[in-house]
Amino acid sequence: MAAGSGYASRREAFDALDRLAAFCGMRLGAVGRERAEASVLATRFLATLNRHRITRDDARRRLALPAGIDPATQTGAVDGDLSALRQALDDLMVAYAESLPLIGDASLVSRLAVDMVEVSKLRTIVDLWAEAEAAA
Amino acid sequence: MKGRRDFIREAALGAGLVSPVAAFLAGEVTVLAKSEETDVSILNAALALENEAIGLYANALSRDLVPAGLRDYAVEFKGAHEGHRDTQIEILRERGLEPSAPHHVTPLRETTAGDPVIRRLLSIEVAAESAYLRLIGQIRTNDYLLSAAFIVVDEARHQTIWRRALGLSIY
Repeated sequence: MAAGSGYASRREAFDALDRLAAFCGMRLGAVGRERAEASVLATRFLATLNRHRITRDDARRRLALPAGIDPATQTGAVDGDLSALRQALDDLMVAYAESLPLIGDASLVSRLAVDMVEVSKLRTIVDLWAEAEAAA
Repeated sequence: MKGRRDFIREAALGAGLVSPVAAFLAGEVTVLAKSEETDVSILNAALALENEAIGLYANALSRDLVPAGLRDYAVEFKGAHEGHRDTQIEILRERGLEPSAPHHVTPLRETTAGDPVIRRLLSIEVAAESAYLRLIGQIRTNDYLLSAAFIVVDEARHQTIWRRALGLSIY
C-alpha cells in the first residue's frame, strides 16, 4: 500500500474514483433538477465529470485494469442539497489525491492531477454558491 | 506582469539549489530523472514558491493592501501556504536535509488596496498551481506525491476565489 493511501491497489483506487464520481453525478443531476437556476451549471459540471471518466477509462486501459462501472447503472435517491454535493466532490478530490501514489506512471499522474484540480475548483464553486445562498 | 514561466523560474532559482527543476519548468528539459535528488530539487523549488507566496501575503496584509471584504481569505491563504511550507520542510528533514533560507521577497509596488493587489496574489497562486501540476508526475516518493496532491488542490481553491473576486471566469 502506498504511504498515506487508503487503497490497496490501483484497481481499488480506480473503482473508488468511478464510484465517487458517479455519486457526484447523481448529486449534480438532483441539483440541476431541483434548482432551475443551476441547470446550466450542473450540465457543465456533469460534462466535466464525464471528461474525467474518459481519462480514467483510458488510464485503466494503459494500466491493463478491467473496465470501470457504467455511471448510468448507479441508482439511488439523492436530493439537491449543496452541502451534500460539496461533500461528495470533496470525497472525490481526496480519492484522487490518495490514488496518485499508486499510479506509477508519470504522464498518468499528471493527467489525473489535472482532473483532481478541476474537482477542487468545482468544490470551491459550490462553496461560494452555498455562501451566497446563506448570505441572501 | 512577468510571464508565468519566468516568474516560476526566478522564484525557483531564488533558492539557489534547484537548477534542474528550474530548467524543467522553463521547458528546457522535458523529463527529470526519477531520483531522490529530483525529489529534493522539487522540494526546494516548491519551498521557494511557498516562501514567495507567504512573503506576498504578509506584505499585503501588513500594509492593509487587501480589500476589507477579502482580508479573511488572504489570512486563510497565507496560513495555508505556511502549512505547505512546513510540510515540505518536514519532508526534507525526514531525509536528513535542512531547507535553504527563505529568499528576499520583493514588496508589492501597490500602495492602496484594490484589484491590482488581488491580481498579484492571484498570479502567485496560478504560478504555484502550474508548477505543482507540471512537477507532480516527476515526484518519486509516495509520501511527497501525496502531500503535493493535497497542496495543489489548495492552490486551486485559492486561485478560484481570487478569480471570482476579480470577476474573472472561474469555470
